[in-house]
Amino acid sequence: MRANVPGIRIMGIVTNLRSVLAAALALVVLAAPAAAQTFSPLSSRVVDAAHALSPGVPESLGAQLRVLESRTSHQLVVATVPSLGGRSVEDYANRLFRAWGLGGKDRNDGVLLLVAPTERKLRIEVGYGLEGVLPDAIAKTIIEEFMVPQLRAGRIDAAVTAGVEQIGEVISGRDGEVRRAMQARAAAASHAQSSRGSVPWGVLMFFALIPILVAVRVFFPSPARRQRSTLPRGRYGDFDRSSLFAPVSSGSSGGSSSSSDSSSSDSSSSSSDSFSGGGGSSGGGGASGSW
Amino acid sequence: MSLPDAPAKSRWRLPVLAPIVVVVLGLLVASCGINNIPSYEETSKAKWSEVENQYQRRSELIPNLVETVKGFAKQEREVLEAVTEARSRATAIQLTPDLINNPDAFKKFQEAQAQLSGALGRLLVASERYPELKSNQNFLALQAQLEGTENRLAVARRDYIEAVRVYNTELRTFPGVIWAKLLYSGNRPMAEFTVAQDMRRNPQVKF
Repeated sequence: MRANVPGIRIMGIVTNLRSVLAAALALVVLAAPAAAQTFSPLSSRVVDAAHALSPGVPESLGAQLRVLESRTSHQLVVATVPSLGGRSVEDYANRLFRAWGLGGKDRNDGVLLLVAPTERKLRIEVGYGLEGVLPDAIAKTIIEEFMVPQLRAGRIDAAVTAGVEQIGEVISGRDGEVRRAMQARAAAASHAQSSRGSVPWGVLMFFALIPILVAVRVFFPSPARRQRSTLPRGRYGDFDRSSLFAPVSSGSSGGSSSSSDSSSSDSSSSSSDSFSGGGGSSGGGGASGSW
Repeated sequence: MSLPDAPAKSRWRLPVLAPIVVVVLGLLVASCGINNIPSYEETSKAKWSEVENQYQRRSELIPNLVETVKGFAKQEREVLEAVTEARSRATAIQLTPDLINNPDAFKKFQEAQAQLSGALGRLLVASERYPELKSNQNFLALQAQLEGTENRLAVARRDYIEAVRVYNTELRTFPGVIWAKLLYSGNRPMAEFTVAQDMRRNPQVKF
């Protein structure tokens, strides 16, 4: 009789403990769906999980992106995925961006170029900190004018390369070509509905060269250029505008790959072989397209 | 054998167990959080203000969009009016801080916004019929901005829902429920979005 009472008490404690444990378990289970989605690890600046790019292309793009990052400190990463897992491309890109934490933690200055060949969708996801430099309308223009035509022709390599180049231009502060493409897009569409997509490349290149030449000569950006480039607004304070124009005025000959040589002096040396995101986040800025 | 064993056991048990119990209790208080409820509450509020922010941005874009469409597609008066009306109805709702603690007001708010989403979607579909409008640069830029805002809205809403889920869970589960009863008896669960899915769709416009 006597021995029974503590026995029951212990039983009571055990069941109490059990319910506490169950509650704790429930918490864990509830918290799990947020982290359930698994993404391929951020092994380098070009994560070609869909194997959509030709051999050698990821490497050369990666080198280009490393130069871009050392020059501007902005992180641009390219990803191809075999499947969006039933999500919209916007949703997937945002989750992937956050999982990888692209861009600096406080600057949030990352950009993700996501291509999903299976779904024939693509997206440029822009971190909070670059929304002013790479606004939605510009991202949309890059997608529609520089990437989609190539993708429609089945040239994923060319599309991704062109996209990287244009994004690189814009986040380096040189967006003349994209803006002109935007105008040309409007003009072309209104003049000839049928011949959409045939952009006068020669003319565009010619016009794109003018501001660069002017900058080289005068050693500072012309007023027109200054007015055209959007001011970074809002969330990031420590953005150094003067560094954007430095590569232009230092006299390299244009295109983002060729200006790489002059950049090694001001690189932060931290970005060498091992690569990881800086903990930046995105609130869904950017644009998407399909082909 | 058993006689000398028993007193030895109880002699070292107490001094060893007591500090362990103290440490465990301390950890429980510190990590399972007396501060959790207020800090989760603040996080949720911050996430909500981002949601409001994006709704605000959207309603700022609309007049411009309506004007631009009007210039090319006067015939679409009905659709244009529907958008303007839905917008004014949505902006008429006072955004008070306690909106998220008031399920009725919250429901009204999200219904008004959902209606505006629907009207906007119809406007963008209607604008498909006007090639000149579709090639207007102003319209293209506005459209990209609107798509972007809708997407940011979706992200902000997702973040808010997640923050509220954490907060509401803390209010209702151990050990948060103890603190809720003891210290934060005024804290109510926050409202979640229920109209969700079809609002989330971006207005898709094909070229």
